[in-house]
Amino acid sequence: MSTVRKFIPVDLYDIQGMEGWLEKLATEQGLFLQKFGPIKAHFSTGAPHPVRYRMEPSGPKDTEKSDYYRACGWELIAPLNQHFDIYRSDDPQGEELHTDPVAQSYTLHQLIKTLKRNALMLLLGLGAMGAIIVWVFFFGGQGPVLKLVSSNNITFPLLLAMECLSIGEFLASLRNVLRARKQLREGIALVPNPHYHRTGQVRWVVMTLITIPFLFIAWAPLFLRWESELLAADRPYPILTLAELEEAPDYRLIPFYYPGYEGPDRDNYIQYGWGPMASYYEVSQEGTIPNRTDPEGNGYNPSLDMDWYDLALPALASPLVDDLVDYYTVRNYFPGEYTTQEYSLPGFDRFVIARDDRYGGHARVFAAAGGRVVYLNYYGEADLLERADLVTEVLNWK
Amino acid sequence: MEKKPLGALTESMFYVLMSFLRRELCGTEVTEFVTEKTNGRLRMGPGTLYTILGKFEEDGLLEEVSIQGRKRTYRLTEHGRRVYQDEVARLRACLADARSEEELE
Repeated sequence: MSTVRKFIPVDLYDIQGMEGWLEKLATEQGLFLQKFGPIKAHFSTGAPHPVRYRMEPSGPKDTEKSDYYRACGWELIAPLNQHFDIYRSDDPQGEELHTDPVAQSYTLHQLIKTLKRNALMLLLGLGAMGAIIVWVFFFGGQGPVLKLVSSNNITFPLLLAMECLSIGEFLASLRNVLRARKQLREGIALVPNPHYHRTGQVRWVVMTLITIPFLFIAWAPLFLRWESELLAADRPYPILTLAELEEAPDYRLIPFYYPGYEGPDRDNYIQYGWGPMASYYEVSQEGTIPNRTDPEGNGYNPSLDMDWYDLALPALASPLVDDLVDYYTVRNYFPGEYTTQEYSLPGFDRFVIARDDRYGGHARVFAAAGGRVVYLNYYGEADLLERADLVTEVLNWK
Repeated sequence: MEKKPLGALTESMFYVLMSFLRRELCGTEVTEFVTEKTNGRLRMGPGTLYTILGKFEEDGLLEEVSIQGRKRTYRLTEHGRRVYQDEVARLRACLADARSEEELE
């Protein structure tokens, strides 16, 4: 006698379908249920013969009842899903487990109460999760598009979609039990259905098709990201160099330093990240140009931070520019701190400069072309509008 | 919270109540009583028997009086007796209606 495992094709709460499936396997293939696993049912093999399976909501242990069931030919085979017990009778002509449908409907009463309570808890959880996601995306500091393309925030709405799917499944199962009870209350017995719906199988396929990409989306960014000091980077990356912007071949970088610090040069650094909505680079530069001074006569130390996005959906480029402008000039700043102006320039879909009204040598640039967006945060004397050609180059980086 | 009253009794439920009228019984004795009383006309599956016993106990029609080993014994409560008598009265009325109708033929 060997053991055979089979996917459970029936909804776990479809009483007639489950009984029909089990009886069909016994009668046609000589497979007799041993137990249920999380996805598959385990069967022992034998000569095919008709048997009857009945699915009973599980209740408190009652030895007299168990003895009597056994005496009537009904053997407890396995629990199912923590809510049901499966009984089998090898005598097709023996006493039926239930002979009064209305009385049988009472067996589902407690189960339905439990399932309804669980459904309510799930819906409340879903509501809370949805509220948190809405808050994070719309009121959580960054605009929704910036939030979506930064890091891997897409997993949150995906998680919400999966949660909705699970609840949908749960409610469909609850509906199966409610239908069974309605039928029984009307005095119609539950008859095993050999033409069961393959709802369970369909759900497994759908869940698998959704879960695999979800797991990829959730985990891939952890493996695809990389970071490096600029001088040590051994892979290509987009950059608008300060040397080009300042037109200063003698530009040299100033490594990040404070007493005791021995880590990487965070002021001249690159980070790459991948998400399903965008791949992005964050490039920081800080340096000095010998023999040049700022307006106050001090040493001239320009810096340039760049966020560079390659969007999966080019339609998000313009809304992303809006979110970046909002985040870097409005949301966390006093009114009038920046003077923001948008220009129509060839080669750009959007080109916005925000000039710092308090500190003349500071400007932010937000530009988009096709599915690419770049944000520059520049401290220095160069005019970024005049050097838009460099911004075009970095946007078109291959 | 008040319990939802039991609807009209099914035949099985009626005979289970009847079996307790004059004695305390355990589950298997109920089946024996029903089989004997109905000359085997009414079959009562083990699932039906224990569902009815559980439901009647929950609704206060029966109460458990003892547990000896694996055997649980129940007896009819006053409420159970009233429910039974109401059902008998209802059935008698039905029968009377049927008879009067037959007499008109």
